[in-house]
Amino acid sequence: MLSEKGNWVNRDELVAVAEDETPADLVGSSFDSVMDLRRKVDIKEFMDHSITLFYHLGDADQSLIKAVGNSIYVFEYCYFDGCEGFPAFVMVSEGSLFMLIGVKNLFEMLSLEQPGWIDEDTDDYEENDEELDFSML
Amino acid sequence: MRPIHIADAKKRDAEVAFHVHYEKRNVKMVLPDGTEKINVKILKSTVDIERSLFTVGGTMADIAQKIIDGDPEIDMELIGKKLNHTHKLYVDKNDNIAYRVNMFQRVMNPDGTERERRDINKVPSNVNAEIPLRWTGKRFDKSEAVRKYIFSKKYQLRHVNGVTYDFLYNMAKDLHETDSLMLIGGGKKGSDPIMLSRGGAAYRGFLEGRVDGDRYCLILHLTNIEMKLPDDLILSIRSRGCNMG
Repeated sequence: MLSEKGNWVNRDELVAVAEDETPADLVGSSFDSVMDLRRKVDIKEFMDHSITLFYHLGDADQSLIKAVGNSIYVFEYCYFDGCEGFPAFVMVSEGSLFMLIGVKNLFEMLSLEQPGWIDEDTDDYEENDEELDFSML
Repeated sequence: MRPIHIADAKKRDAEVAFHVHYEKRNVKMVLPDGTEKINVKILKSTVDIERSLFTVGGTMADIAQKIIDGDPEIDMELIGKKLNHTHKLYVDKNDNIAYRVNMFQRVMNPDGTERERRDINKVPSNVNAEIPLRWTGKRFDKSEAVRKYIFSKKYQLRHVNGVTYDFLYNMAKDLHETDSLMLIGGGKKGSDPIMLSRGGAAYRGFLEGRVDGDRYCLILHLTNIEMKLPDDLILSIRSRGCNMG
């Protein structure tokens, strides 16, 4: 990374700012404290997200698995201390507890007046996630 | 937007567009003075330089000392040069460029053993093939599907004219009213996996439809991972007295 003047910049010199250039509110590491499962989401909200990582929470005890039940809970997840936070969904599958980290997609309700277009040259398409910014992970 | 050739339940087909938009992150990283950082790619070394370091002989410690003493790894004409457009190359064991590389996809079992090898060079993309992606007729309950598959990629399908608006709207309406996902796939029977690019990963595809008045949203959910534990781990959990359903 370089500065605008072309000087070398180390990653630890960078600071996080919000869109209005003010210092950003960052989330602490999810491994430093107890994560409370307070907010439930419905299937639609969960399905708006692409899942980038998932974990089997193998040490979860039966009371927690039972409490989650058929619900899907979400909390702000951050691996390292000090990131923007990604939605982490907690759910039960086949009697085991899983945590799924997602990024939100923007899906629009489309009317007739909102057609798309087809690019002429799509032959060299390579599957990648360049649109996805993982720099905060 | 990329084209996708898709058929509906009545086997009528059309070419429409599909695309992805992720929600923009609110936080960005800048320099302490608030100015933007610039990401650059810089040449660190070349094959010739690295080869010359190891052909002088001696132990690794000798080579390290030679690097400290004489900086032979720094070619002032090349090292530090900014790189703009780069391409990935494959090399053989002699570091010569390999022009014909056979790529295989290794399909692994949950226990880590190899189940199958697929020659992926020969598998073309089928999202806009002559044969459209077809509805299989297999509907899935949404709650069941999200607990069975990891959906890592999602695309919105979009009409490109009035005719395809009706086409996609009716698909979305059907799925909205039945509150279900429809499994779709390639090939004549719709049973082939969906390939977004030649040699890319193979996905199962599920369509989800949402309707609000005369507006619609048709989403293609793609998955190539099942939310499934290895058998030995399931046995281990069961032996601890847990209910695995």
